[in-house]
Amino acid sequence: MILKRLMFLPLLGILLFNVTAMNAQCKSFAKKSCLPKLAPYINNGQLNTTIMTPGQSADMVMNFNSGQSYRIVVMCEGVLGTVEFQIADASGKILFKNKNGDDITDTWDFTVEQTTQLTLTVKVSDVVDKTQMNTEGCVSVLVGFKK
Amino acid sequence: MRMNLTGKVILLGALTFILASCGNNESSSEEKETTPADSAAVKKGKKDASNAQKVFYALPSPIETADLLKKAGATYNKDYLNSLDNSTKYNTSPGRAMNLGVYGTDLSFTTIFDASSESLLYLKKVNNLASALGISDAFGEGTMDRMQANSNNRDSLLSIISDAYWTADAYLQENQRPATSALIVAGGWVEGLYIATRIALSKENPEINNRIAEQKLSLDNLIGLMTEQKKDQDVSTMLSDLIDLRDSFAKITMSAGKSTSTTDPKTKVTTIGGGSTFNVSKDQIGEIAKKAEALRTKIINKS
Repeated sequence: MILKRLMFLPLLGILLFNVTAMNAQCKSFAKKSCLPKLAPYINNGQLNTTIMTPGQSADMVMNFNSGQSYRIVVMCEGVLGTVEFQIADASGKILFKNKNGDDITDTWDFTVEQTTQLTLTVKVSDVVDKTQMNTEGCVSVLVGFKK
Repeated sequence: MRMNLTGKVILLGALTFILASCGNNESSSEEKETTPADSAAVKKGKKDASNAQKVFYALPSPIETADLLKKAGATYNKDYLNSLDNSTKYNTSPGRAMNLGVYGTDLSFTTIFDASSESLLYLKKVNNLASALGISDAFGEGTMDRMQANSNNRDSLLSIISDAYWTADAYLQENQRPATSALIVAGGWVEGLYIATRIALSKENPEINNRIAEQKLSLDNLIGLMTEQKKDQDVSTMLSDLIDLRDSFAKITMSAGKSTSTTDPKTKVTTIGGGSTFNVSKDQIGEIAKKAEALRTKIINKS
C-alpha cells in the first residue's frame, strides 16, 4: 500500500517541473518573439506574461506620461490562435482595438498629450474546434517608451 | 483504500490544477482587498478587472522617470543617490531586493545624465546585489562589458540597462519569486520619488512638481502590485508605508479630461488626448517629500 502511494511522488515531481517549464517557456517566447518587436522603444523592464486558454482575458493597468511616445506589443503562442486587445480609459471608453475587420495587429504606437491611466484588456480568441478545449499557451504584453 | 484508474486520473487532474495555481500571482476577486481612499480609476479598474482572469500592474521604468525629470529641467546631483558604501549593509534577501531597485534607479539617473564613470560603479553594485539574489545573468560580466563598450552611446546604454532589468524580472517570475520582484520595483519607485522631491525642494520648478503629482497614478498601480504579494511580510510592511504615502497624494486634486484618440493613417500612430491634470501646492510637495525621505531612509538602512 505504502509503495503504491510512493508511486505518486514522481508524478508530483513531473507536475512541479511542468509549472517551472511553463514559466520558462513564456520567458523564452517573450524574449525571442516579442521583445524584438518593441525596438526601437525602450522596454519598461517588466515581464508581463501568463498562460492562458481560449476565451480567457487579462487586464493590465498602466499609466502614461504626458508628452511621451509608447509602443505596446501583445502576442500569443501559435497554439492559441489570435489574441485581441483593446485600450480603455478610466471611464471605460474604448480608445483602440487591435482588430479591425479581418485586420489584426500585435503592436500599437501612441503618444499621450496628458498623463493618463489606461487599461489594456487582452482576450484569447474562443475555441472553434472542441478538440482544442484544453489548449493553453503564453500571452505576452510588453510596453516600451521612446526617449 | 484501493483507488481505481478513474480515481487516479481525477487525483492527477486535481494535483495539476493546484500546482498550476501555485506561484501564479493571479488576483481573483475573492483575494482583492479594498484599501481606503482608492482613486476612482483604481476602483473602476478593480471592478472591471474582476471579470479578467489576471490583472497586471505596470509601473514606469526608472529610466523613463529619470528621462522625464531631465526633460523638465532637472540637473544631476550625485548627493541625491544612495551611497555606494551602503551596499555592505545589505545581507538579507528583502534588503538586497529593495536596494537592487534603489541602485537600479541610481544607475538610470547616472546614465541619463551621462555620468558614465559613476554608471559603471552603480552597475557593479547592482550586479553584486543581483548575484546575491541569484539573478547573476541579468547584470553580470556580459552587461558590464557591453556598457563599457558603449560608454559613449547613451541610447545603447539605456537599452542595455532595460534589457538587464527585463531579464532579472523574467528570471524572478520564471522561478516563482514575485514578492522579490515586487520589492525591487517598489525600492526603485521610492528612490525615483525621493530624487524627484529633492530636486523639487532645491529649486522651484512647476513641471517637476507636476511630474511628482503624476506619481499619484503610479502609486495606485504599485499598491495594486504589492497587494497581490502581501502575504510576504516585507511586502506587507512596505505596503503599509505606501498606503500612508498615498494619503498625502490623495490631497492633490486631479481632474480627468474627456479622452480622445486620433490615428494618423500614414504613420499609424495614435494620439491620445484628454487625460488628467493635477493641481499641486508647494506644501503638498513638501509633505510628500518628507514621507518619501522617511521611507527611502528605511529602505537604504534595511539590512
